[in-house]
Amino acid sequence: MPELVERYLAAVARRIWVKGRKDILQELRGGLEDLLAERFGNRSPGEGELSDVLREFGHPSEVARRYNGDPGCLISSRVYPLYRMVAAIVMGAVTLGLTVAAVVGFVADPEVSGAMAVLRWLGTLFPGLLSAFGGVTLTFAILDRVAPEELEGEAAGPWDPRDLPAAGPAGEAVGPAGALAGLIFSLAGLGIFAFLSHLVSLGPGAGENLRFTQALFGGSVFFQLRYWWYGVFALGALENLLVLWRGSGWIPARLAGLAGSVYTALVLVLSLGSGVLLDGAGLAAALPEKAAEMLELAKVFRTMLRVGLILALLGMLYDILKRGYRLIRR
Amino acid sequence: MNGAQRKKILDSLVQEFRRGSLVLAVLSQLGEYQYGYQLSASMGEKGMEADQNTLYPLLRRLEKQEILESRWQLEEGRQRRYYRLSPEGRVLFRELKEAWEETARVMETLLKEGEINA
Repeated sequence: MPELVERYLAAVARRIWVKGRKDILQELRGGLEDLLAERFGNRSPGEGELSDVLREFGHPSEVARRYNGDPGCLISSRVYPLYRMVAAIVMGAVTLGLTVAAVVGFVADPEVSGAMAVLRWLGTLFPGLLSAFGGVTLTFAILDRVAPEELEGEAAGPWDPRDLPAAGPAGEAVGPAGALAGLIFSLAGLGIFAFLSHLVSLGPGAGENLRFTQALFGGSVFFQLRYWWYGVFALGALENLLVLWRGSGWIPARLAGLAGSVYTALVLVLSLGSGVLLDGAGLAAALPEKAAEMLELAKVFRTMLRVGLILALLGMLYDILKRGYRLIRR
Repeated sequence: MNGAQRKKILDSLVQEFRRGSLVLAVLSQLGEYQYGYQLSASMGEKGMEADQNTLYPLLRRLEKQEILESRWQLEEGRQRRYYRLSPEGRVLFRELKEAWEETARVMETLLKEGEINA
C-alpha cells in the first residue's frame, strides 16, 4: 500500500474513538485497495493521483466522524483533535506550575515537612487539573455549538493528503497531544533538574527544608551525573519536537527516540555503577540534630533508588528492542 | 431565486430524500453476502450513488443493530468484510419495504392532487 495511503489511514485511526478501530481500518484499507485497483489497475499511481483519490474519499476527520457519530457528545468529533491538544497543553502547564510552586514553597518554608509538602502538592494538583480540564471542556462544548466553523479548521475547506503526518507502526502512533505533553514533561524535567542543581550550588541553606533538599539532591547520583541527565531530557524533548513536526512515523523522529532510549539506558547503567546512589553522611551532616534519622532515611532512599533504576533500565532495554525491531521491519 | 440557487437547493433536497432511502436500498441488496466496495459499485451502476465513506459506517451501524451479519474473507490477498441480512434483518427489511410501498402510494396520491391543483 502506498505510503501516502498509510498516512491517510493513520490520520483516520487517530480520530476514531469507537470500539473496533482495528476492524474499521482493515475495512477501509480493503476499500481503498479495491478503489485504487479499479482506477489504476497494475500501474502505480503518482502522488498527485493518490491525493485526488484520497481527497475524494474524504478528510480523515469527516471519515472518522461518520464512524464516531455524535450521539449527544459534549465535544463533537470535528473539533475533538483540537480540544485534545489544548487540554493536553493546559493540563501540562497546570501540572508544571503547581509542581514548581510546591517545590519552591517547600524549600522556602521551614515549618513544612517533606510529607506535608507532598500532601499539599497533591491537594492542589488534583483540584487544579480537574478545574483546568473542566474549563477547557466547557469552553469547547460552548464554542462547538456557537461557532463550530471557527473550530472545524482542518476538515473545512481544501486540504492536501500530502500534508498529513507520517504514520507510525501499528499501535505506536503518537498524536500531537501526546507529543506535546511529552515535550512539556521533558522540559519540566530539565527545568526541575536545573532548579535543584542551582539550589545545591547556593551553598548550605539556613532553613531545615532547604538543607534537606540540598543534601538529598546534592548527595544523590542524579546530581553527580546531572549533565548526563540533562541529555536524557534534552533527547526526550527533541524526539517529541520531531514527532510534533512530522509525526511519529517520520524516520528522524524514530531514530531520535531510539537514540534517546539507548542514551537513557547508558545513563541508568552509569548511575547504578557509580558506587554512591545517595550520600547518607551528607544528609546527616546537613541535619546534625537528626543525624541517626537521616542515616536510616538514606538507607531507605538508596534501596528505592536502586530498585527504581533497575526497573527503569529493564524498561529501557525493552523499549530499545521494540524500537529497533520496528525500525528494521519498516 | 436565480437558476444557480435553484439548482443548489434542488440538489440539496434530492440528496436529503435519497439519504433517507439509502438504508432500504442497502438492505435490498444484501440478500446475499457482499462487501462494501462491491455494494457501492453495484448500487452506483443502478443509479443509487453511495460514497464508500458513507456506506462503510452505515454497514457497521446496521451490523451493530443486528440487522446485518458479517464475516471476514481473504480474497486476492485482501481481507474483505462481507455483509448480508441477518434473520432479524430479513424480517425488518420486509416490514420496511411495506412501509416504503405504503409511503410511495400516499406520495403518488399527494403528487396527483398536486398536479391537479398546480
